[in-house]
Amino acid sequence: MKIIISNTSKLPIYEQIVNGIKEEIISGNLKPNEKLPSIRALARDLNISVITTKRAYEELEREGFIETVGGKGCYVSYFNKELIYEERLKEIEKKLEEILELSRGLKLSKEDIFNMINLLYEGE
Amino acid sequence: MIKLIKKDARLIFKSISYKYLILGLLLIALFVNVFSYIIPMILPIVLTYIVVTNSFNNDALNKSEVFILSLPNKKEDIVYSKYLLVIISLFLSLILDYLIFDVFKIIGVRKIVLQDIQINIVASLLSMSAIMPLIFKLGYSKLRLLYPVITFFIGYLVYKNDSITNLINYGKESLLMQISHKLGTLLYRVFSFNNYDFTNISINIYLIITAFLSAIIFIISMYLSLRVYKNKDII
Amino acid sequence: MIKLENLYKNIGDFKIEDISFELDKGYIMALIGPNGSGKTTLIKMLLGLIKADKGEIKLFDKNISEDEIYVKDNIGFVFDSLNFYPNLRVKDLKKIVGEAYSRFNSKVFDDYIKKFNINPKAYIGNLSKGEAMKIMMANALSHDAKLLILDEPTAGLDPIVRKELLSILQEEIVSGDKSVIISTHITSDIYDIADYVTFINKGKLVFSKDMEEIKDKYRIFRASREEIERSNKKFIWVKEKKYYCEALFIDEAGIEDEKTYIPSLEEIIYYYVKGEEQ
Repeated sequence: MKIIISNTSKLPIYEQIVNGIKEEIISGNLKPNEKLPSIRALARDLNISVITTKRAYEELEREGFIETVGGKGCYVSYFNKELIYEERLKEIEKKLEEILELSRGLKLSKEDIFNMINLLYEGE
Repeated sequence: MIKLIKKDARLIFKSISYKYLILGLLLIALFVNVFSYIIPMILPIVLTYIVVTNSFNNDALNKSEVFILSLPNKKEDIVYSKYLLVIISLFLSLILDYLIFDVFKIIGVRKIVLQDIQINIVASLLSMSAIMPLIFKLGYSKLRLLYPVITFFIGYLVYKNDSITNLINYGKESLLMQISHKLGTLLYRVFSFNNYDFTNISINIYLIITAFLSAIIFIISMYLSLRVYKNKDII
Repeated sequence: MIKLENLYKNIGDFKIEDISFELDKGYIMALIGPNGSGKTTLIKMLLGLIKADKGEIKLFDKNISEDEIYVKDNIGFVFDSLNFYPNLRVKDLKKIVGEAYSRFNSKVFDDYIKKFNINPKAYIGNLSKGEAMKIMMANALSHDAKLLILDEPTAGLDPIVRKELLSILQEEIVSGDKSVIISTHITSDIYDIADYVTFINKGKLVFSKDMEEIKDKYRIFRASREEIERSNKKFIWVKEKKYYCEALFIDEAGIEDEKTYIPSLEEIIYYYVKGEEQ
């Protein structure tokens, strides 16, 4: 499992962990039913507090990516494709919002943006 | 509690200043003739005093109280161990006294008598009973100079008012002396000590009574120290 | 594991007023606050060295005054200096502590001493500050203590030793059975690894919160004087600088603003203390 966290990022550490583990799950590096490190071992290995890793794991469980089996630990859940799909859709939406934000600064119209998208699409 | 005594014992051995010891022995050797009459009377109390105050001094100087009390040691044990230290050093120095003056006759001026032993016990126990609760309440360092003064003062009183000397020199009989006399007479009659010197029995009983009373005062002092120390905050 | 309730204590001029906080098993709590705020006094109260005037202290669900030996047997302590007998050796110290603790493990102690490169025959009086702290650490970790209490253990130590100490603490936490309470000035040391922070100032509790909440909510607002005055945020204190002002506040709404940034624990302490002074 690969997770890299940065102290200087604007993102709180627990979120970086959540994103990092999500990436690993989505990309397939972490397979369904694979056991994740305990929150304490992870905290020690990343040199962060237990309460942070706990929060990250709780978030991941809330979003359905992992499951806690009482007493045994946390496992990657058998996710369905829809969950991933939704996840990626959310990401695209966020990025689109960023694009729109930027283009407002330059006072681009909707047409300009669509043109750019078409160009890029065809370029592929 | 035994562990604390072991600790104190370890400390004594490791912190004996060999320089002073040798200096002291040399001094004694030099002035042996001058002092030899009174040494049996004062050696144990002096040694006990040195050992006990050194023990307190060591603790206070190094502020080891906090560390020792942060370990699972009870405050009571510390008090018990110090009082026991008094008894042990008194006992050992009395034996030393006896060995020097009686058995090995290193200094041969006179033999050690029961009175020497008694007077040392009484003077030691009484002075320690006085200063130890003070030490536990106020800490050793605060009144470091006061303790020898108190000890000296009490010692002086004990030696001065020693009823036996008074009896022998002035024929005065103190209250205790009278009680002992009565007890002695009683025992004499009850057990028909025909072969024993009557005066001797009285005196011996007096010695035992005074030593016993000092022991009681010592124990009272210990309970006082226990209470005082238990309520003390270790800052 | 630790529960303090409404503690009051009067020591000469200094007062501890109504301090309460808790620490569960398996977490690290940092005790922070300026010099003389009462951190050491609190720690001494945890160890039973000082008795509270009012209030309760429970360790492992037991009262330290009633179960003194049990409680102290389960505590490992590290102070900022080793006040012990300088003419004893390390191995003498080992004997003395070994006889005191019921579950003292001689081998564990020796392993730590070896790992820390300390000569067991060395005199306590000749130890450097770092070595003295390591010996206390070795002692604290060799008797299966459930609670580690550290009072400014890293004061005056170089960054390498500090990191070593902190990674040892993190390792101890992994099992989840032990708790750590560490008082320190060097808040940067514990910023990443502390789970809870209890902040004491002038004998009073400022707050006792978990680190995630602190990192989420505390912000410093950097803006012009007018903006600050216009703002309806509740500022703990405003620092006036030449060209702008900076003010600490608690951001309940979680608004992300370009003008706000996340303060360090040091800054949080600074602002609270300054705010109190006024």
